[in-house]
Amino acid sequence: MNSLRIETSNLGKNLGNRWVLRRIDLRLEEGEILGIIGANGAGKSTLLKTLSGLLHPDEGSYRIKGSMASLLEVGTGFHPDLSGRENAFLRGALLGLSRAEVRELLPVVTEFAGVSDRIDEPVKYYSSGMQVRLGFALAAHLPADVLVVDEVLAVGDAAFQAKSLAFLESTWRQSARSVVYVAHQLPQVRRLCDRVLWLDQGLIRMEGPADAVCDAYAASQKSTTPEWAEPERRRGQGKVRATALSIQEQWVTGGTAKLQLHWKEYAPSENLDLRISVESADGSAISLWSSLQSGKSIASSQLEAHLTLSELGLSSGDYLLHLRLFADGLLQDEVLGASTLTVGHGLWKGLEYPTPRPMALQSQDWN
Amino acid sequence: MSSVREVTAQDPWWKPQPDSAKNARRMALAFARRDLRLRYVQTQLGWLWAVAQPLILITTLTLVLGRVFALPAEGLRQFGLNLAVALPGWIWFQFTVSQGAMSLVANQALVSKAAFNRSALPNSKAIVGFADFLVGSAVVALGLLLIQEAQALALLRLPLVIAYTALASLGWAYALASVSVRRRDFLAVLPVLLQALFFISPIALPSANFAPVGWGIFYWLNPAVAMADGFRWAWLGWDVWQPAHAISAASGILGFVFGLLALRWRSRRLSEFL
Repeated sequence: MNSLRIETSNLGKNLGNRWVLRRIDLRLEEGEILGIIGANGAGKSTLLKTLSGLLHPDEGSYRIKGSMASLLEVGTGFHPDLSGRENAFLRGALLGLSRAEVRELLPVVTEFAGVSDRIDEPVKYYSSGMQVRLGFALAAHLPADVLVVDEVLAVGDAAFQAKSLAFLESTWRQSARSVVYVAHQLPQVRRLCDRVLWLDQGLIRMEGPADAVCDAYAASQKSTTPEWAEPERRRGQGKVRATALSIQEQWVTGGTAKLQLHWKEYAPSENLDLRISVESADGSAISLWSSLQSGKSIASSQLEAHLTLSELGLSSGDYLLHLRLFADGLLQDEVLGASTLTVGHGLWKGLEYPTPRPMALQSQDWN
Repeated sequence: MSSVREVTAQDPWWKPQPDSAKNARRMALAFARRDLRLRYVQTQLGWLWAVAQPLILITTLTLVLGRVFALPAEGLRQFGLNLAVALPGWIWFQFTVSQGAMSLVANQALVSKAAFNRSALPNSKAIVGFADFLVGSAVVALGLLLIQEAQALALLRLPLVIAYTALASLGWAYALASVSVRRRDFLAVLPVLLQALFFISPIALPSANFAPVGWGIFYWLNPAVAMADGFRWAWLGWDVWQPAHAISAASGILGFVFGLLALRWRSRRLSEFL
């Protein structure tokens, strides 16, 4: 096939008498973005290093068509005494660009990284944020046919990460560039990648459309009954400490959902705020339930409380609940990962809600 | 027309990558530029040091060694000539060997993260050293002009000697850099070894006047013998050659081939060691 960019056949790497990568057959077409996920030590970095030519395979072969740039750890490796511009030339050379090509890219890159007015200063006078932004911006604007990237998005502050993700989403997806992308954050993988490869102990565990593989991976990650930390090791002042959080019956989208919370009282308080924050299994914040929002004050002497959600606004999927108890605005107790929650399939306002992922749903009125 | 990179587990270790020559050239220039930029960062005199260094060395060595050997005025002049034409080449040689040997280890963060032709790092040191050599040679040329010693026709031989110096020093740099990736012992003793090499090489005196008795062929295995006498042959037009020089020259060129192979062999597993 003409548009095939990367093809590996039975690729394997043996390090220290252990196969850290084995029987890898993958194909990447022109313009395709392939995500690689898996636990630490699953072989993700080894695969990237092999494709970038840093490691020689011990078994099988691979074939890469077109110019390739490999970016491992974009945020590091600048020379402190050289100016941003000189560092960009050096980095560019490492990535296969001539000086003329870097010169051409530089205005766009520095603009994106927000370092235009300081590009001729030595990098040691940059903040660490500026350095990683420059590294990322250079990497993201590379004109190579094939990009092999490791965690490029794990740099900068939240605002820059959001900007970067949006940029990659629009540029990478619309270009003919093929990308092999390793990331630990599933939401980014879902947004960026067409296909995902799940590596487990050096082998391909699953390969397919991004959402399907990410769902399966997330499901394998969640522990069934979380162990709570000892009360004295938890954060908070300790006027009250939670003892149990129980979910009754199976929760379904749009249905009535109930849970019960129990605690012990160590010092009285008339004004408790019980908060439960909801995360999807891959770590995105979804929702927050707070007893203060119901307008009732809860006294610590009550020792238990019941929450009823009359129309459960969560799509079907797996969630994680964190528990925090406040008294007069001060944190008393915190249980992270207090419970897992599986929401079953159900109708939302009598209709199927069109989302395959865990998310909060909202009643709406369109005119 | 786009390039295709095809790698299989069975590829022999000496097989070159398709675009590695272009890659090596670009990277060597980029690294050399980096080093040259950094060279005189935070110095007052900056590039004047490049001129001052060879001048100071030639003058002190001539005066000190001339005093040691109690040379008369004419002898001192001959001695100074011998030293001055060989010294920039020697400085370049030992710079390339010492810096090149360290270059892979010193840049290990880069080497373990980016795939580029590994010879680029030692090569960049040779380029930086060559810049110094050019400055030093300009000083020498000026001096020779002043005392009317330069042989215009013989100077055409200079490129040949320069090429030989580059090859001979790079061979050692490649080999030592490859070994040092796993065993750094050599890096620790290298300055001493190079200092010793300076004393057993005909830098201050031509090999005709300086060949230790009883060393036999071992003296001629030193590639720096052909280099130092070569510079006299090129700058001053002296006919310095003896048949044994062929051994020295062959040792330099074979050393280059050996170093190149050692580096390529080591390159394949470099990221596993660093």
